[in-house]
Amino acid sequence: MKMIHGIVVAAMLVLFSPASPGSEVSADISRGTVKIVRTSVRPDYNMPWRMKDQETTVGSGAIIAKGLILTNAHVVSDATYIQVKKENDPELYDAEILYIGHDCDLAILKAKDPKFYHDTLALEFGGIPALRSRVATYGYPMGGSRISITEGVTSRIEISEYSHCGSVSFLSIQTDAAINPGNSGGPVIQKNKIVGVAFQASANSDNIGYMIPVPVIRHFLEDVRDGRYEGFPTLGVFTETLENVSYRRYLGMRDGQTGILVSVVMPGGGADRHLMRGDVILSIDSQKIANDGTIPFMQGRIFYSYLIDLKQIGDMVSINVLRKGKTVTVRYPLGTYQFRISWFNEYETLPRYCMFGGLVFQPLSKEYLKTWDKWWYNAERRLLYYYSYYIQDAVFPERKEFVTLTRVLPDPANAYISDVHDRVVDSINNVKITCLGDVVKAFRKPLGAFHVIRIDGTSFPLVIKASEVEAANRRIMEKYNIPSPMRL
Amino acid sequence: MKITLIIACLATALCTYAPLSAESMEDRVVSIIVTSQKKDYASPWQNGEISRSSIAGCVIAGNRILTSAYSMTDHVLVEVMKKGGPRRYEAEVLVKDYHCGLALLGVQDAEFFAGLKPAELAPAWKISGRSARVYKWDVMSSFKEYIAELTKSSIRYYEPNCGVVMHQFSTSMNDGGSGEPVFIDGKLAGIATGLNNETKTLYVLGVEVIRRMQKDVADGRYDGVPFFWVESMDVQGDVNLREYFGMGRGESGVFITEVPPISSGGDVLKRNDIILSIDGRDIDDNGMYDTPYGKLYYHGLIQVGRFVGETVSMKVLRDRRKIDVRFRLKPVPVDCCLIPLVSHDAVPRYYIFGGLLFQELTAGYLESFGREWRKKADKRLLYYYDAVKQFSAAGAVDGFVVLNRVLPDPVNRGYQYYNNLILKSANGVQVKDLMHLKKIVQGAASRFIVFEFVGETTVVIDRNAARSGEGELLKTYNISSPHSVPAR
Repeated sequence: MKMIHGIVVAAMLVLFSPASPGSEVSADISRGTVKIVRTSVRPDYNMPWRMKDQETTVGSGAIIAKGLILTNAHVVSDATYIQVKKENDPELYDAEILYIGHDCDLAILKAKDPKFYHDTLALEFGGIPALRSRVATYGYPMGGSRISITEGVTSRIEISEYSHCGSVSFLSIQTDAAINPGNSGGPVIQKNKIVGVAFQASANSDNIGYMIPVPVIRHFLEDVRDGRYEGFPTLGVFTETLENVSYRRYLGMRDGQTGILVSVVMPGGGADRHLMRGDVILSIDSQKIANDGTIPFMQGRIFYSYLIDLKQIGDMVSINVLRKGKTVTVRYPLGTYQFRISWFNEYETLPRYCMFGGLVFQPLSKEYLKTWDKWWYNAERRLLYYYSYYIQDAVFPERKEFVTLTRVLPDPANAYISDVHDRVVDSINNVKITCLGDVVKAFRKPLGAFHVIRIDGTSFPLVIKASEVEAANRRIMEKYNIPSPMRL
Repeated sequence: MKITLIIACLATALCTYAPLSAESMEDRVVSIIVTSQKKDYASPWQNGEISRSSIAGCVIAGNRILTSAYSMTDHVLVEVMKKGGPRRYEAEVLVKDYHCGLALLGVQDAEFFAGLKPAELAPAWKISGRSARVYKWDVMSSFKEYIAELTKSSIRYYEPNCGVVMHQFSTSMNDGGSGEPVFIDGKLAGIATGLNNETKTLYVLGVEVIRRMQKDVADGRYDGVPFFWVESMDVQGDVNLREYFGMGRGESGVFITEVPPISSGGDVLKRNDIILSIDGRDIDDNGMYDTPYGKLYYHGLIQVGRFVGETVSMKVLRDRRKIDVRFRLKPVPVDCCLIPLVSHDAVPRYYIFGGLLFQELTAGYLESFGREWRKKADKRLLYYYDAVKQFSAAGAVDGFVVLNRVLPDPVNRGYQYYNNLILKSANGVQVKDLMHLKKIVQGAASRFIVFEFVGETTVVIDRNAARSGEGELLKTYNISSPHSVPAR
């Protein structure tokens, strides 16, 4: 399922004649709803020293307590300039980001001028709306410039992917109230309280809009209480469901015992030394896990990851596991996993790289792979394999990241190797490359008169003359207008 | 502009004065009706679609018909027709060699060759004049002659690494590239094996390939193209690399980057060897040697006009020292290589246990992902395919067994979404091939059969439940046998 972000490019905002506020329109709620205009600039991972063209987009937000504005991270990410506007005020006010959480797609803004908050309403939070109960979304979607209110019911409550960051899933609520580009960040209201933040819609389908529910919003607000956003913790393992009775018996589970299997312990993910491959997780914090990995939730069931998503990094988790026929309890603080190849969309960060003699080295990441059009089909196949399976297949376990030779900027110093690119680097001058910093170190000590670069998948070395590199760097930076030879 | 056009027209007009008339070619060119049935990799116990096509062939000495092997893939019935006549004679396929692209047919009924004349072969390594004629019978039984201009000659490859002389002609043909003979001065100069309809380029296997095949079958036994399966890269005038590897002035050659031991020369060649010359012929920095057709890639010296059992001698630069190596040419091994790279005509082998459909990883298996299989197939399978030479060079000898998919049944509940997984072991034993897998499973005494896959996925099946339910499962899915009859 393809998700689209609810943002609309604000190049031309057509003004329609204002409709008179009908009796169903709650004037109060619109006083707590704001329009957010953001200008952003994103880096170009293809030429990591360069920025792409700027973009201006419109989203929505809600005023909550203490003059804070709650919106989606994707409404304000990579911003160079943010302005907010109220429905009943012609003025645009400057705003700044206080906190931004990309995994849960939430952000807190503040208008710089206190005058902005005159005649506004701070909205309060409700709970999780019941299925089929009515909700209304407030915001500034495409198709006009004034506030838009749409109504619908709560259609489904489930764990699903948050596409802003990608590869992460949290509790989310589906509604058939129209959610269109521009609605993003706007409040979803039931009984005059916020029950969600509208944030994404499913493309190629009708009336499937998604909102971030209150438990996820509260998690975010609690996280930033210490003045810093750290994000959601991970259990630190990959699990498999145990729906097959033979598998359960093979693992020594008694009839009536249920749980899920630990298939991969992510190295450095907090669970090593606590959980082992082959453990059966019977319960988490005394909550029994079913064989399909679910726990009871409201009227139905939900994936067990919800239990972890309620916790903060550093919180203890207590897990009952079946290990070699014995039930043991393990307790450990939840942490985060340092992805050696990032699986996520990245924001507010500039790509890391270094360049020697025209050879550009970058860590392999989803952002880099996305530089290919339809990247999942067209990107370099070997890189896609590493990206997809490096954790499960334990590829190059000693490497902190997969340093990739991404391109060669043509120069006399590298005239003969210019068709090698998008390959992972094994070693430079016999130094194993385990992170980008190693490249810089390795280039300090040439092998005799040469720098010798060995590439994954071939024994063919790339050789450049050590004495030529410094002059080449200067020449290349000037010719190709590269302000710095590295960003580490 | 106008002037050049007139000249071009004149040239064409002159060329149509052929020394031999088209009519006399009618006794040399035949049409072949190929009925073929595709293999069904998704359901390997059954065959796929049936199709018919009409291709061309050429009568050569000894009452044989020569055509393109790739136009006859998966054939079930081959019929030949002469002089556009309606009578069909059943033909037998004597040799179909996908490594050189040619097929040789015979006809039981001697009457077929009455009135037909064998084509005389054009001299090797010589194309006199550049204008050629291509002949075929069209569907309306009329004889067609096309003019073709030679544009380029090169070494092309069929798997695994088998080099052939391929000529490219520009032509006005719209439909063809399947076995049409190409004549120059009334002599057979090649067999068409492909047509690019956009560029109007006809791909033609040179007469050297034909001669090699004729000689090879002369002793009643066909050995095929010599096998030379190493990975190499051209030095391409890289001055740094030349200096680094100690190549002298005036020396040139190609780098060997990977040497699987199963290749001819696998026991004497080494990684980082630089082949300077082959049988006294110098190799230049682009890996080319001089021929009357122009420069051709060095594989031509090992595979064009060469036979299994012959000795090749090479001058090689190893560790800065020039040495002479000699080795005998081996035939292409059956099921070459780890991942069989040519799957035409191969019946996909399979083994079903507990509804788990196991198959071998072959080129045909990957091709069954569709025309864009290089983009669509599972990234891990593609990685194994791409790295096959490295696996082989590292000493791997067994192929890969894959779980294609699961045929849903109570016995495999919970595993039903698993697909395209590479099998590591069954009951702790590393699996060599399908036969081995079958042996392990059938010889097991334990209650459970445990399958471990690459990527830390495990499947446990109750042996008795799988056995007792097998008949029912096979009946439900209409499968005649739980395994294919082994070909060897």
